Amino acid sequence: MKMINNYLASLETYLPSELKQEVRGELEASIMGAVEDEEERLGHSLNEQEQEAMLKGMGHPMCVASTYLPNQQLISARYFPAFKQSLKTTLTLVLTIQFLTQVPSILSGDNLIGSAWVAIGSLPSTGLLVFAALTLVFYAMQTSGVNIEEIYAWSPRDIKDSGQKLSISRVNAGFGFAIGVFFLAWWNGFVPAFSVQDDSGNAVRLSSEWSAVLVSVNIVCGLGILLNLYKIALAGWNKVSLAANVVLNLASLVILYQIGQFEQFAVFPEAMGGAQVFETTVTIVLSVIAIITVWDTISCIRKLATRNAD
Amino acid sequence: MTEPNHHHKLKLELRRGVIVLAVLAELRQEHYGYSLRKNLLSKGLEIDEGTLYPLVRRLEKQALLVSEWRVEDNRKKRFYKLSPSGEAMLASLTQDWRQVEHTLNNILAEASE
Repeated sequence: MKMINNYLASLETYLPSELKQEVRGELEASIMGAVEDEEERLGHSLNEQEQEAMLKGMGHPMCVASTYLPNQQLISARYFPAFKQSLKTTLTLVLTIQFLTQVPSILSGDNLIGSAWVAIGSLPSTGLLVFAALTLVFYAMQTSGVNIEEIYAWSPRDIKDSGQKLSISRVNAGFGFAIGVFFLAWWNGFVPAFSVQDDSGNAVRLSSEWSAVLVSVNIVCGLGILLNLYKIALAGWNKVSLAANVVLNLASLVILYQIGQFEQFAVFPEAMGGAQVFETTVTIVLSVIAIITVWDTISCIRKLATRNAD
Repeated sequence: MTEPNHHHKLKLELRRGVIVLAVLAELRQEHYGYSLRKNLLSKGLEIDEGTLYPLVRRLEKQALLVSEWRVEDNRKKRFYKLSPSGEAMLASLTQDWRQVEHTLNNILAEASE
């Protein structure tokens, strides 16, 4: 019965020392009882194939051993909802902050795209670290029997009126917030901007007409950032935020129209070409932004109309 | 998932609920692991070793069973039987089972009308 002994020896290796002898003894008695019954039924000693079939029916030694061990889950069903929600919130916060803090180094690097890729490439490893840390925390809480009933303590009275709110993803609102902060920092010169220069070191610069919209862009973007923060907190639209979004969009359209009236978007050094291409590109970009803004405004007005009808 | 798979999984869930009661009832008489499994199988309840043996260990930890090692047929075996609190638990669960059975029979009778 060498195969059976090998099986039991292998099973022992997956057990803690205090269980090895006991579990092996129990299973050995059980397997040998089954062998005797089978030999009586067949009328002969079990050959290797028959022993193999019997042991295969029992299962892999690792799986059999695991049934004797407690806590077969890293995060049990009871703790999982809290773990999942904590993971979502923590990952959103950490990755957003990490990306924002890397924006200055992206913009000051020689290779903008390369620096951006390096920054984005570092996000998964941070995400994995956050995941590992949070898993360890919840595993420790579970193993030590920390009571998490406080997290799940609730009353129907405390649940907010969801009929007044259209749910949105906090991640989307967080992304909008991050883009807004980045843009405002660049607009006001807090982050280094990449520059294009000719051989003599003369750089392309924005025309003086942009000063006409400096303050209005700051106001609209600043209010947009605050609105995104409000949406992150609320995780949804309500009438106030929808109306505010419509007003900001209309203000943005006025600014876009104003920019569209500029005679010149940028001043190129005489020796450098590409001015016409640049002007055309900016016009196209402004048009796309305007179309998106109009679409978003109509969408918000529709949502408002739906809310008012309810 | 195919329908036979669905049926198999639901059948396992249904059986899972009665295994503890079946094991406690069977251990009104002393058994070791294999003889317990064999007896339950002969009465129509198949339980694999991976489920049965950890279960009886758990029931022993809960003081519903007592066990002792004895040598029988030149082999060391661990024999289990009901403890006094195990007997009380069996009586209690048997009553619960009768109520569940009665309730379910009512529901099934209504459903078939």
